[in-house]
Amino acid sequence: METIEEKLQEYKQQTVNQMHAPSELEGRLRDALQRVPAKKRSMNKTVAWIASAVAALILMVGAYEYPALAYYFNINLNTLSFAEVVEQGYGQSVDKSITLQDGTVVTIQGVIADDNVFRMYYTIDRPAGIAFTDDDFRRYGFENLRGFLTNSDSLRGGGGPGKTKSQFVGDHDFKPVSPFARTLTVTFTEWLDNGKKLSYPITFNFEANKAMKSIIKEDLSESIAVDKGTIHYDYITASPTSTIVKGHYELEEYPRFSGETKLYVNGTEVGRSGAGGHNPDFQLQFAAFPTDNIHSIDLVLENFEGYHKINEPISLASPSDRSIKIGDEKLWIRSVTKTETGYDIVIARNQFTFLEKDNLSIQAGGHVIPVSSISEERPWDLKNGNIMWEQTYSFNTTDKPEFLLVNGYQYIKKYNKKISIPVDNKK
Amino acid sequence: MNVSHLVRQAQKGNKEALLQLIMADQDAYYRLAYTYMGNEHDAMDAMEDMIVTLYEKIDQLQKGEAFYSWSKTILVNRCRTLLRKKGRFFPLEDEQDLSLAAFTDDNPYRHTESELNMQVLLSHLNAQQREAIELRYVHDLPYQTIADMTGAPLGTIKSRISQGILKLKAMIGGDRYGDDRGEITGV
Repeated sequence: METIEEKLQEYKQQTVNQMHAPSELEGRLRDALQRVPAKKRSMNKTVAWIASAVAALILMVGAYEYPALAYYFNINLNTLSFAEVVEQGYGQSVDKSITLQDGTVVTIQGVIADDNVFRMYYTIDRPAGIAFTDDDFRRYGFENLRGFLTNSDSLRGGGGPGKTKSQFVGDHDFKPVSPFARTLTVTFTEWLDNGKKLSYPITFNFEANKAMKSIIKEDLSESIAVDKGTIHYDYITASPTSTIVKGHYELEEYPRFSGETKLYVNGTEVGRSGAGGHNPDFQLQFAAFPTDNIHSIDLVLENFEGYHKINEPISLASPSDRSIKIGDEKLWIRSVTKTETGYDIVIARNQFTFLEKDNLSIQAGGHVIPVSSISEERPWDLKNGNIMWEQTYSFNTTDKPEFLLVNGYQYIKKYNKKISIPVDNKK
Repeated sequence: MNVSHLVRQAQKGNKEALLQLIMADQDAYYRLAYTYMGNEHDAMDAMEDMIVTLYEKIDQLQKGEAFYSWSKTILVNRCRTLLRKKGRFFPLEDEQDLSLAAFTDDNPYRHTESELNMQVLLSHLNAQQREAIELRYVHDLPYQTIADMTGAPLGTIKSRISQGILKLKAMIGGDRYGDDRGEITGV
């Protein structure tokens, strides 16, 4: 008789092991990663840049303003610890602590604010002699930030070891806060071993006059036509910590790929740090502008989701591993094989080229036969550094397939379209 | 694939290296997420959250070779948090609650006789035993990793697994199984 271990093994083979990660997983994960701002470089103390005394040129319009400090260039706020931020004359000290049940102390050291972010610097000190572990990092967290006209979601956080093994030094970004807020409350959370979560509100004063002004903050009315609609660019904010471009899509559906958009200031590319959005809005995030002396700002849509309509039937007469060029992309009709129930056709393509499944059919013996099933995708290694992806398309017919009928395919298309953002550089 | 090398790359901020690490074991991550979330959509959401957390926290990973157990722990934590938000996971409050959401009726991976049997058998364990047994026998995770994932001490995990196995043995051991489940549930 089967043992329970064998039964479990069988169960695993027959259920869970039959499950495979969906083909779109990689794209989803890559997009998720793209939305995360690029890692801050390690907090190297050799930030030897000297703040020059060039006052920031401020070109501003907007409903409200931070009373605001002007920002001086030549420092990169994203690489500094809070002490260094203060040394440069920015930021607001907070220095508020709470003590958790086990004696761990959480201290908000200070904050900096601008139009794109509210950044909070903090330390967590475990009781003396107890090391701060990865597990602690998972147990602790910050939830949203509230205050007058303010309910800012958490955006990201990070940090590293502090002075001792017991200390963690981190910073956490929230969505920007209202300049009218005078006190802010952040919620620190702790998961206990028993699965319960404790919340600790920490309230502190916010000095909006220590917030930093943006270099540019303006509405845009630019758009780029793509295969399935239009991308509209609505707003740009270049703050001392980052640059955010907001827009919306006018497309049949939210794009599968966010594509690659580059930002150039005075002809020099500004590093991209993320993208995201909720249908139909999107947001692109870049590093801070390298200078306040701006002559030109250009956005270049390098690639984006494209659609190629296929008008001609594709011959199935001579399957082979040689590609067929259709539009910008290639397809491979690798094989046409008779099976017990009909014909299987193996078609390969680039990883991000997707044949439209609606109305996908073949012409055989004068009839049009719709596809009955499509397999999971499998890699096909061309052994020349390229890996294509193939799928088996099955058709129920006794007639030999003559042509493949498909509406079109979706792919990553090179657009290379540029829009120039007007610069009002005359004060 | 050199895991430690890729981990170091990822620690330097190389997103592709991190993605490569995950994709190399994508089915295992997906199966794990699916077991908890019970559907593709939520499983993929959990994995997206996981990779963002990994990217933000990978600096803190000291041993590259621990990447897989560390990242899977983060995935399970994320799944449990998502389930808590949905009110579907109460392993502590309600021991009898069949809270592992996997294998609901719309699950396409449930067809054969014997797996249904196993499904029925597992449903008679309490949520904690079932979770530990699935992590151990279905996802092949080491005891220590399961302890990290569930936040329970190692000894507790071992005992949950051995008691769960005993209970399962009791169920298939005799001819009582099948028409006399009510009695066995109480074990």
